[in-house]
Amino acid sequence: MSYENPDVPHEVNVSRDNALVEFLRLLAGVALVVLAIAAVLYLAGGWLARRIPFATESSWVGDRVLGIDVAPTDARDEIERYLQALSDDLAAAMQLPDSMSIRVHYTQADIPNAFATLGGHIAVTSELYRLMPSENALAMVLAHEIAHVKARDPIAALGSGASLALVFALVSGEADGLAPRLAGLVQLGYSRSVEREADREAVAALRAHYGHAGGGASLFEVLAEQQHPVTGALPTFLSTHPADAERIDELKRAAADWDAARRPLTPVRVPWDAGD
Amino acid sequence: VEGIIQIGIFVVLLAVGWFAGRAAEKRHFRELAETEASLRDILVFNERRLPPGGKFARATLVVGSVVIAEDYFKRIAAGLRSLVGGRITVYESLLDRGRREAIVRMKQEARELGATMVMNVRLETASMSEDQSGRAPMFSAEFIAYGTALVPDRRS
Repeated sequence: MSYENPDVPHEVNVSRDNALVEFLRLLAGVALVVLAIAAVLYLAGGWLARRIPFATESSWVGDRVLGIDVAPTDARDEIERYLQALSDDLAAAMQLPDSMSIRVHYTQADIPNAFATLGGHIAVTSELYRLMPSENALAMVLAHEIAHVKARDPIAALGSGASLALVFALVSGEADGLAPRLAGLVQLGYSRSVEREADREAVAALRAHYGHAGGGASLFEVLAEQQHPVTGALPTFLSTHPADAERIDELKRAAADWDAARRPLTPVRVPWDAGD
Repeated sequence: VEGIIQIGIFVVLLAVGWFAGRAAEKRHFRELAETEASLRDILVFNERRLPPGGKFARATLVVGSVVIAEDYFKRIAAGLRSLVGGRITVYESLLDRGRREAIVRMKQEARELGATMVMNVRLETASMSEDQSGRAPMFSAEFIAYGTALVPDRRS
């Protein structure tokens, strides 16, 4: 018997595929699956959140206005009462369900902005109020935000955002700092279709309240003028919303039958510097 | 911004792992081919009994061991692969290098003893990946090859 070691082909133990190509293919596949899961959870989170009763949502937040610090201003009381009364009229015109209530907050800020947050709270900044050319424009802002509350958009944004944050935490393995971030999610922009729907509701509310939809488009024209001369940044109210010409056109179309001479715009009843 | 920095660090680590790891692997395979060729005359078998009729002066235990670490690219690629299952090809080459290097070192020890044959060769692998917390910060493995070196009787 002879003992020998023949030449061994070592390659049999190792796959000779390109590791980088394989890695990229795997990465793409896994990313696709994670994205699909994120999309499903995003939609499911929003869908489920809308099914939370408004009373429950209100009891969660109470008097807190999430997403903004309500800074007191000198003229706050008077303007806030005026905004609240206008909102109540609009809410009635929009047939807001009895179970829902709107609370308007007037807050000191240098950026023109308005938004609806959890619990039916609506915040209007002093800068936005100062820029309003007419009560009709102001009503357009308020009605738009009331439409968001009516459609449960803030809590849907929270539900969707929370689902996304969950996916992110699962993927990255970091659950710290998840909770504080949730509050900020309410401020995430809404999709174009949601904004358009809110615009439509707001126009209908203007019609019901004033008998015409005039003055709504002027709001956006005024805001567009506030565009930063250097950075080109738009005011927050516009930039988190679809700030396209299409939207302004739609509002102008809605007001096409309005005769400005016969039905003048209502002026803002409480001047922005009422407290001075 | 923080997220972009984190992704940037990740991509840099991945690139370092890919280029450095690939260079090290290529060099190792080249060295292995050379040393294996020079040690061809030392025969290794996993047979437990002595060859019949052989005349040997000495029988000694010889051991060769090596520890090989993965690189960052292999680690991430293996992690991805273990999500979906299948062959972890990036580790195949790592373990192949370890086994061959251990045998080469064992043969070198046998050569210093003047042996021509190593019988009853065994290979063992130990993962050194886990620390005390049970997490696996980095995968590395020890490969150990041992056997009975037979030194021929020169007088016969």
